[in-house]
Amino acid sequence: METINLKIVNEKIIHEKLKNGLDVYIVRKKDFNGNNVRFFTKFGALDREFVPINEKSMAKMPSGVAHFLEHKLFEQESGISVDDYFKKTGSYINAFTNYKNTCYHFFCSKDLKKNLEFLLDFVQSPYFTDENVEKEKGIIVQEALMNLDDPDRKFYQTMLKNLFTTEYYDDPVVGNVEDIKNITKEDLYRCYNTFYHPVNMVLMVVTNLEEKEVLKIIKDNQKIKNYKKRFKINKKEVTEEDNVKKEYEELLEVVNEKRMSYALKINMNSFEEIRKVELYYYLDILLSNAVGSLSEFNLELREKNLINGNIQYEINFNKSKEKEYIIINFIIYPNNESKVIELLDKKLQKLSITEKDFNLFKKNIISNNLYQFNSINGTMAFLYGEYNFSGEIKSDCLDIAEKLSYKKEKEIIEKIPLENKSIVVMKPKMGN
Amino acid sequence: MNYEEYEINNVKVYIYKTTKFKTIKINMMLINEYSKNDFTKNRLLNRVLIRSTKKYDNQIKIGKKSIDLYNPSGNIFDSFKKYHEKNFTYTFLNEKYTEPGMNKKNIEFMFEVIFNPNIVEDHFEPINFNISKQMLESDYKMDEENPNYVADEIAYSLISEDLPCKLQKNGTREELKNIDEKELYNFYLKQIKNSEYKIFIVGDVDTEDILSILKQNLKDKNIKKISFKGENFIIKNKTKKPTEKIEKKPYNQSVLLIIYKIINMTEYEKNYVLPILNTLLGGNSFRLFNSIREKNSLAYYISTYTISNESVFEIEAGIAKSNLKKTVELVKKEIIDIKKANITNEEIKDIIEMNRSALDSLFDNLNSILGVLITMAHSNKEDPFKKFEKLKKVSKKEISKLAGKLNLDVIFLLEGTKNGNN
Repeated sequence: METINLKIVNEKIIHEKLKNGLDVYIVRKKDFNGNNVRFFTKFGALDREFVPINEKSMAKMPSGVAHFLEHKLFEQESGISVDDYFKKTGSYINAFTNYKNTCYHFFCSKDLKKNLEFLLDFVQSPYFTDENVEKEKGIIVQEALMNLDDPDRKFYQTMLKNLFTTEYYDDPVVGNVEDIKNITKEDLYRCYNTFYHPVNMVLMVVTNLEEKEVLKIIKDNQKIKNYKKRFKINKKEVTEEDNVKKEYEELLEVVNEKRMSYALKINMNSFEEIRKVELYYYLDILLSNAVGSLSEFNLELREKNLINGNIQYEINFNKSKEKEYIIINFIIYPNNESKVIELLDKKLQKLSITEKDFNLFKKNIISNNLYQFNSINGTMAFLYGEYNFSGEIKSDCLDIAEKLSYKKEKEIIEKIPLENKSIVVMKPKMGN
Repeated sequence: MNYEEYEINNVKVYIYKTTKFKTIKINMMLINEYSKNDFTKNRLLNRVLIRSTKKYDNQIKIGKKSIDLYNPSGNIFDSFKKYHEKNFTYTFLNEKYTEPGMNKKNIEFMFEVIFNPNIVEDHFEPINFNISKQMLESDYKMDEENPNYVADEIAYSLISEDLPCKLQKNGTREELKNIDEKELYNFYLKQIKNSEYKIFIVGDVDTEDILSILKQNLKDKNIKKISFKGENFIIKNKTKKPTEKIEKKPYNQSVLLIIYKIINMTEYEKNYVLPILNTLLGGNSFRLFNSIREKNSLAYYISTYTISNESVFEIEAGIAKSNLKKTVELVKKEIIDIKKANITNEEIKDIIEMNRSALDSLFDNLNSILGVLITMAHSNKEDPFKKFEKLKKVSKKEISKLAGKLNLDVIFLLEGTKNGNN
C-alpha cells in the first residue's frame, strides 16, 4: 500500500495493487456524507481485434460490443435487478463506455460495504443468454438512433476518423445499427473473459469511511474469487501513422450553425523528456494566450463577425503501440471558414507569449486545481481523469503547475510542429 | 438548517455558514414583475452583462480580472413563476486558500458586473452588445437542432391553460432581431430600479466582515423597499379531450411528450405527495422505466418532470413512431393502476430511501445547500429534514387520490422521419 500526498490541496490518496492485479485508489472525505465509487475496465470501443482468452487467433468483434456488454452486465442470473438493488439503499448506479474504458459507478450515502460488494459481484458475474441479448437490442438500437440525432456526435466522430489512420474510430461507441443487431452472447463472453480480469481493471473509492476499512472490504471480496494469473492481453495494435487520414471534409447535416474542427496531430518524439501533464500545462497556457477566449486573436475574429462564440480547444494524448501523439483540437463556429482557416494557420506559425501573460495563465491553472477537491464528485473526477491521462497518480501531479517556467515555455514554442492537420466543417443542409 | 438573517439598505441577506468547502457561493436575486415580451430581452441582458463592464470593457479585460481573482465562476439565470426572479450566482475561492483581501475583491467584482454595465450615454456599448446578440442567435440555432428542445416548445404551446410554462420562456430568434442597445438598457434600468433584492450566502464566512463588505457595496444603490409574494397556479378546469398532435421533423428518433394538468392540487399534495408520485412513475427502475423500457423495449429513456407551482406533470420518452400507441397505453395503464392504489409497500420504502439518501447528501454540495437556503428563506418552505419526516407519512391513499387528479391535456409526438437511414 502506498500513500499519495497531494500537499497543495491537503488531500491523501491510498493506493494498492491487489494480488489478483486490481488497482485500488481510495480517498477519504471525512466531513462529507456521500460515497462515490468507480469500477472500470480498460476495454472500450476501440478494442475490436484481439486474441480471446483460451484461443489462438485474432478475432474481430462487431462495433458496439463493449457498450452492449456494459448494458448486459446489469442482468443477473439470480434475476435480481441491479437497479432495484441500489434503489433499496437510495443509491444511484450507472455505467458508461467510451473508446478506451467501460466504467460502472455508483453514489450512496450509506451502506457502502453492501453496495461496494454488490458492485464487484455483479460486474464479476456475467450472465448472457440468447434471449436476454436479443431483448437488449431494441433498447440499444433506440439509443443509437438518439445519438444519430446529435449532430455534434457525428461531428466529433468524423474528426476522430479523419485524424487517425487506425480504423476503429470510424464507428460510434454505441455501434452501428446493423452490427448491434448481429451481436451474439458468444461475442460478449469472449470480450468479457478477455478484458474483465482484475489485472485489467481499476477501482476508485471516494468515501467518508476510513481507508483501511474500505480496503479490507475490497480485499475480502476479491480473495475468495479465484482469478488465475493473467498475462498481457494480445490486442491487435496497429501502428498509427504520423500523417492524418484525411485533411479536409465537409458534412451536410440538419443543423442551423456551421461548426468546424481544426485538429492537429503531433508526434511526441520531440518531447520525450517532459512529463505529459507538464506538457499539457505548457500547451494550455500557450493556446489560452494565442487563441483562447482571452486572446486578441479570438476577439478580432468575433468583432469582424468571422466566428460566433469563442474558439474552444482541447488537448488530448493518444497512444498507439510505441508512438504517442498530442492532439490539439480547435472547435470553432465560423461564418467564413476559409478565412478563419487562413488566419488560424498564420497565427499558429507565429506563436509567442510575454512573461506577464505566462504568469497569468499559470495562475489560472493553479486556481483550477484548488477547486477540484471541493466535493465528492469533484474528487472522483480528479482521480479518474488523472489516472486515465497519466496511467497512474503521483504525489507531485499538482505540484507541477507551480514549477512551470517561462523559459521552458519558450523552448516548447520553438519545438512544436503545427502543420499536420485535419479539418472537418459541418454545414447546414440546403432548405434547413 | 440554521441560517442568519439581516437587512442592509432594503436588501435581505441570508447567511448559512459551513467550513466544509474551499469556496464561498453568493446568489443575488432580483424579483420583479414580467410580461410575455420579456423573455428574449432577459436572455440577451444576461449575455451582455457578463461579457463586459464599465471598468473591464471587453471580454479579455474581464477574463483577465477573473484570473487575477483566482478564477471565480458566475452565472445569470431567470426563473419565471408568478413573478420573475433573476439570479446572479457567483462562486469564488475563500481567501484562506488564496490571499488576504480576496473575499472583498471578489464581492466588489460581482457588484461591478451587476451594477456597472458597459454603457455609452444611454445605451449599451454597441460592439459588445452586438457580439452578445450574435452569440445568443447562435444559441437559438443550436437549441433548434435539439429534438427534445423542439418537442418541448411545441408540446407546451398546446397546453389548454394560460400558464407560464406555455410561453416560450427561452425567447425567440425573431424577437431578438428587433432588440437594440437602448431598449435593452432601459429594460435593464427598469429591473434594477423596480426589483426586490435578496442575497444568499453559503460558505466559511465571518458575518461581520461579509456584512461590512455588502454594506459598502450597497450604500449608493438606492434600492427600494418592495415585496413580491409568489403564489401557485391552481387549475380547476378539466380537459375533456386532450390535444393530440404529430409533427414531422428530420430526426432519427421520435420524441413523445404527454402532459397532464393536476386539478385542484392542494399545498400538502404539492409538497409531499407529488414528489412521491413523480418518483413512483418516473424514477429510474420504477413504473414507467420498468414497463416501457425494460419489459417492452419501447424506449431508450422515459422520464417524468413536474412544474409543481403550475400544477403540470410531464412524461417524455424517446421512441420509434410505431410504438406510439402502445407507449401511451402503457403510461395510462400505470396511472390507472396507481389510482386504484395498487402500490406496494416495497415501492414506498424504496422511494423514501431515495429521499433519505438525497437528504444525506444535500449538505455535501454548495449548490444544493444554496438551493435549500433559497427554498427556506425566500419561498418560506420548511427545513428539508422536517419535510422528510412528513414525506415518510404519505399514504397510498393520498398517492392514489393525487393520481386521480391527473388530467390528460396533451399528447405530442415529434416524429423523426429519418429512421436511422443516415
